[in-house]
Amino acid sequence: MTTTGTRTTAIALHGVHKVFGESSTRVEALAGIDLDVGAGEFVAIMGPSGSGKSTLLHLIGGLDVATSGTVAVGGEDLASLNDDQLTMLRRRKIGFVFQAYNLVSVLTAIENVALPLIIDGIAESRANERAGRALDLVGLGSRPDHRPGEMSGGEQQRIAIARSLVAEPVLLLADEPTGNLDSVTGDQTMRLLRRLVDEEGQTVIMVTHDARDAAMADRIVRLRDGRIVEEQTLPPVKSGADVLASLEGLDAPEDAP
Amino acid sequence: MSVRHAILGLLAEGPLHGYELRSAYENELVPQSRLNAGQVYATLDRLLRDGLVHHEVVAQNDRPDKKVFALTAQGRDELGRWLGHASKVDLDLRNETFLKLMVARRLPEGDWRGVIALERRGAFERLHQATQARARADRDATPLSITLLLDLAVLKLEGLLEWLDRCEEALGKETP
Amino acid sequence: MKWSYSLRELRRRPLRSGLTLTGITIGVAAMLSIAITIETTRRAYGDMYTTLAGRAALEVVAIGDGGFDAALVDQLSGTDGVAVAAPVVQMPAVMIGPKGRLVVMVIGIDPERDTAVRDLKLRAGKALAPGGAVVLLDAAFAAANGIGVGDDAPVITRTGGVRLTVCGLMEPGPISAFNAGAVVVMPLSTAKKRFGLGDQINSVQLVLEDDDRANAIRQAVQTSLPDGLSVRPPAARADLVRDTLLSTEQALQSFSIMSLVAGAFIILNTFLMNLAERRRQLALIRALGGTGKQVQWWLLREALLLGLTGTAIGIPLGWLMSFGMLGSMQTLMGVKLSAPVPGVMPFVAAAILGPVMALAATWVPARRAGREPPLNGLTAAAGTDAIESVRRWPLVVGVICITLMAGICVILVGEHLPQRSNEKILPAGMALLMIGGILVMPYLLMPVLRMVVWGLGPFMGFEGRMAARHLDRRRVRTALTAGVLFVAIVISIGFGNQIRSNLRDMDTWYERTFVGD
Repeated sequence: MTTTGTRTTAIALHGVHKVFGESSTRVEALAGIDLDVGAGEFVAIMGPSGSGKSTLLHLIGGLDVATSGTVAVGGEDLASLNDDQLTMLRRRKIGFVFQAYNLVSVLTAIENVALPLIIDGIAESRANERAGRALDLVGLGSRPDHRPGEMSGGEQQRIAIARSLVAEPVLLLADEPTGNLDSVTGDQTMRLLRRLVDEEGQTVIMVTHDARDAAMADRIVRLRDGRIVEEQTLPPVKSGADVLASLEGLDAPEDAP
Repeated sequence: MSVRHAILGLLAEGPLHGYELRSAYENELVPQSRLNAGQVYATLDRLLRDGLVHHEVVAQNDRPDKKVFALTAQGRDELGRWLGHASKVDLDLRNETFLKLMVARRLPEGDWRGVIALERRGAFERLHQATQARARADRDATPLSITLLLDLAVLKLEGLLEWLDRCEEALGKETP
Repeated sequence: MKWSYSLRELRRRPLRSGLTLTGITIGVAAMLSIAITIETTRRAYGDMYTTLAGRAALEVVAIGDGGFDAALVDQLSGTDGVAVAAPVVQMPAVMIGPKGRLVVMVIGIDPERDTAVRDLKLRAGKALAPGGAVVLLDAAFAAANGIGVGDDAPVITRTGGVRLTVCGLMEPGPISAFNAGAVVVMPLSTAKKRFGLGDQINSVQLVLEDDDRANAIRQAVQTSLPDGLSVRPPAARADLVRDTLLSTEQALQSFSIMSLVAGAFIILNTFLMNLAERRRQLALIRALGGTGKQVQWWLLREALLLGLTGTAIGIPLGWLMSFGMLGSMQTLMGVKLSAPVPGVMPFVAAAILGPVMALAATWVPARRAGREPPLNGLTAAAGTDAIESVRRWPLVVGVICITLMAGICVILVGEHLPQRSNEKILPAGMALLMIGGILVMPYLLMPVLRMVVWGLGPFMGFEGRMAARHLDRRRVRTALTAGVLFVAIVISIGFGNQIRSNLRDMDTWYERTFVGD
């Protein structure tokens, strides 16, 4: 891992390009991205559809390979890894949360959460123990034996988050995590991610088009046409009362006589 | 917002003197707001004049006498009428961002993109504060009045941000 | 990854898994029952010929167990070292007894010469007289069917029917042991005349002056024999049984292989359906850090589970089916067959075959699924799959298969190979033809489908066009389904024909009987 100041860098992207297709069908999805994300940081990637935000997430997650430039996760340059090594990176260093939850319908909550560990060849008892802890963390410790079909969308997404955490990854990648949820369960999901950052020091990179979700992050990166057009670091939050005090319009207006 | 009717509402719960009225407004009715004393007494005077409240003087031993205000039957009717009618929807469309965009769009050197970016940063900053304050409100058993105001703030900011996206798209089409 | 996860995946689609299971079960059961039937029938024939031979050290038979000219008997009698040459005819027949139709084997012998070959001890009645319209029956067989000395014995063969009289009943012995006692022994001359055999006989049994010289005599006899005839020890005649049974065995083995191929295609078909539905799930496993090999193994394990289960059901089922098949064989071949002989090899083969068939059918698609980049499955909308691209290799492989089969046909028709090897080549050829046909089908199917759509266009309506579009979109699966139907039709037609021709034979026999009456 590289260290910048006191904070370690979770990911570092330099001059990243991604091109799909050839000649006449050629599309440059990413046109030179430079981005550093520190450990324990919560970054939201925003942008209109087709801006390359999902592609960026896939490159960071080792699901796709950059055409040029370097993508380093935990100090490891992904370009130097073969397919099996990329698989190992996804297995041990990255947790994915998808819009459609992507739980395995025939497995129970705890089995879904334990899946990455089972894939990694960890003994079932040990895997279940860790999966149980991850379920506790998302507040579903009391329902380990329910199947996804028996749970609400919000609960399913929390199970998916528990699954993404169970291998204690360097990085949690979320792709429109509230896209299939109503606004109340969406808020709960976002607060859970925020809490993981604040209390567990988890690094989270999230793609979203929802301003309210993006506002939960520490930093917003705005993409357009494969380029970062804007970056905004959001100031730390004051107490609730301070926030309220800073909102104008609450003072009583003068009544007309 | 009508301070006049808010005072009628507070007095409907029981007689109060001026200071009590003011603190009930500031702490319970509209949290974190400020109501100046002059405004309270001016409003009370008008209510007395219109016969909506009456007052009696209560003598106190060690302090000056105080006036205790109470609702008249007429005042109760007025309060009922207010609650029973729809408020005028608070829809102030003449906001400053809009004005800036319209100006920037007309000027040859006008950087409307810069305006949008700045306004958006500001909105995001406040939304960041509001969403997290709202999240904490749920955790810390904050009074309902506060959580409802925070919800209003979050939704308004979200609306503003979405509107900025639309402005960006529409203006982008106009001047590619 | 736990096995119980695979089981749960299979249980999620009970109908589809059930269909796959049925395919495997039928394949395994057909293969096992046919192997048992063939083995049992061969053994019955072997026993039959050995008992029939009696004291004869050599016998002359036609390759394929057909008939040959009786004039040879005299030539053989004159051969140095041959004491007696006894001609024998044999043919399956039906005898009408008091208790109904009896499937029997008619043995025609020369009453005088035959005493040198075997002793026919009589329990009752008289011995055969040359040229008489009389028969000998096994005493136990006659008693069991309520027939006594002096009774009428109407006998019908493929070539004619005749009313004979029972002249005597034999003690258990060489001939009566043959065909479990269901034999009708009659004078050779009578059999030839009454059944219109002309001067054809089936074998000549040679009793030698000195059995120690058997090898030398065999060589001497062989050189004097015309083409198509062979001299050998009676025990070796068991080998000839194979030739006797050849066509039936080929039909059965072809059926057995077709069942396996059909089973494999059913598995492949449902497996492809599963893969299309589970793209997202498999991509997820890859995204969570599963390797391509893990995904492949996960999929193969489901096929293996079905293969093992199908085998477990198919083996007992095949054993039961072999009883029924032996019954049919008995009718078809006119041979009395014992209960199925459970050799070890068919069971071992069946136990290996089921799982192997399931794995073989799913190997390639499972491997391809394992190699697919996870992003494809994750970004595809749920439940949709891209239009299946039709690749070139199945066409090439299919055409090669069909060409090979054509080559085999030429070789078989031209009789360039010893007859024995046909037995192995023909079923393999059938399998090649079927696999080739199914592989080529997508290329033929689509133009045909389009023609049908074009022709029916005005009458099909919107739903019809949608259906055609859908079939076109999933070409591989459509072709596979058509392939399975094709196999089913081939099997039904093949078996239907065989049953029909058997029935026709029966009809002919009955007609002759009534004419004879």
